Amino acid sequence: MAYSFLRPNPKPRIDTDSRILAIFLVVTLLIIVAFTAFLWYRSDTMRREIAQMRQQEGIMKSRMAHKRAQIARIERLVRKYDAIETNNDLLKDSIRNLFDLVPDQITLTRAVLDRNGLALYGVTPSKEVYNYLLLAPLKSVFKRSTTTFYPLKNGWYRFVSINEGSIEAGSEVER
Amino acid sequence: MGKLARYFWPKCGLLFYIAEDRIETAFGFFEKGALNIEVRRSFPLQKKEEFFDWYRQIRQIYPKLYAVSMIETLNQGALPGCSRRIFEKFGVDEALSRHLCIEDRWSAYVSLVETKWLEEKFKGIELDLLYSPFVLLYRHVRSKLDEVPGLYILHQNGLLYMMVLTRDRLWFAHASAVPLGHGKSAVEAGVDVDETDDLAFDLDLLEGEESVEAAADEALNLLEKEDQGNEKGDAEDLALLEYNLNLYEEVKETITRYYRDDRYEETFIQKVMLCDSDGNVSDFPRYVEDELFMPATLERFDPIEAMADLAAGEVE
Repeated sequence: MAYSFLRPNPKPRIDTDSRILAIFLVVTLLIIVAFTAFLWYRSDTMRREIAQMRQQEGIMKSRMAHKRAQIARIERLVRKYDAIETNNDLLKDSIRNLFDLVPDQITLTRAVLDRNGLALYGVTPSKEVYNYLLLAPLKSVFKRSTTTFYPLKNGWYRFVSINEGSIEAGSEVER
Repeated sequence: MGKLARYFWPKCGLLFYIAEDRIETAFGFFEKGALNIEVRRSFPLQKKEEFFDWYRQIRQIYPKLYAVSMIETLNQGALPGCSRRIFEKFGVDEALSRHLCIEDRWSAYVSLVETKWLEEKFKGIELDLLYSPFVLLYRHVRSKLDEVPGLYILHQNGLLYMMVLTRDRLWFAHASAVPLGHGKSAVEAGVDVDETDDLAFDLDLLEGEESVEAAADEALNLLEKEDQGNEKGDAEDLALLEYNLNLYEEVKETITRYYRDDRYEETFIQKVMLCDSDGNVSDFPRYVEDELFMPATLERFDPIEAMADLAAGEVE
């Protein structure tokens, strides 16, 4: 129920001093909030960077391990290469020596050098020639030596000599 | 938040009214549905700038300050109804007045010119609530109203605001001024009471005798002082008596006017209550009881308290 000729005028909520104080507080709060947000953003960025660096560290470690493994493999290969080269040199020398061992009376038709040993195919005028001139040096080189003779019409013998042991030949390179 | 706002930015009221040559003011806080008066101050009307300064100081501290006043003028009244027909019947131009309907029973109105005059007079004050003396009187006596028609009078600053009321309706209202009597006007006109024409002895007889003259001067001074005191006291008493009689006559004339005015529905006034804020009408009830043979009572009326009571209900 109105008893007045006039209606009350709307009033400001706060006075000038309080308004200034409120503005100051709001600005201060805004600065604090902005600074907090900035710090939070920076720390979040740093956290993400740390996580990325850890991830990269892991990748680098795995790469390093891989490289180490590669280096080890290369070193092994180098060693193997050296061994093979040495073996090949030895084999070359052995073969050269082997062919030097073959006397003029005996004719070799085929020679197979593999991992298991040396297989010689050829013709000999007699078993004795073979046994004296070729078998003896073969036995000095190989552990086992088995020879099979096949007589020919002209009195000579075709022989197959299987020699196993000692000489390493045809070794596979480890990969 | 509401409690916080009330604590930090309380609602306050600055109430004021003109009492003769002074501005009576009061400042208080709106709390729990009431306006609790904290300070009362009085400013000379000539130094109203001091009052404006006080208002500005308070307003700077308390932005939710409501300025409350009452309008004292004869160009206002109350009508027994709220309809346009009532306004037309009593010749009140709605366009030229501010008016409000009270409890859907009666209307209070005041001339627009008068409100503009008040606003102009207190230009430094942003008025929020402006009350009619009739409304203040009604609120003051509302709890005392019953089925017996009574004449309720508010006496303030030599003006009379009169209402014939019962519990459920207003029968009649009228505003008038107490005519200034001869004695009163003499005092108010500042008649020089130092005049010695009425002295009981002749000063001419004492001329020429120095020693006698000195003694006579002394005696004369004493007598003058005594006479001044007596004359002044007597004049005031006389003025007061005359004022009371004039007030009574004015009330009696108003009652007669009511009974004779056909526009008002007639009822028989059976009691009179005078609410006085000036404090100079103590004889009035006796005159009414002796002359009009009806019970009359006199109550002290404080406009500040009446405005505070109303303002508390209007400021949310």
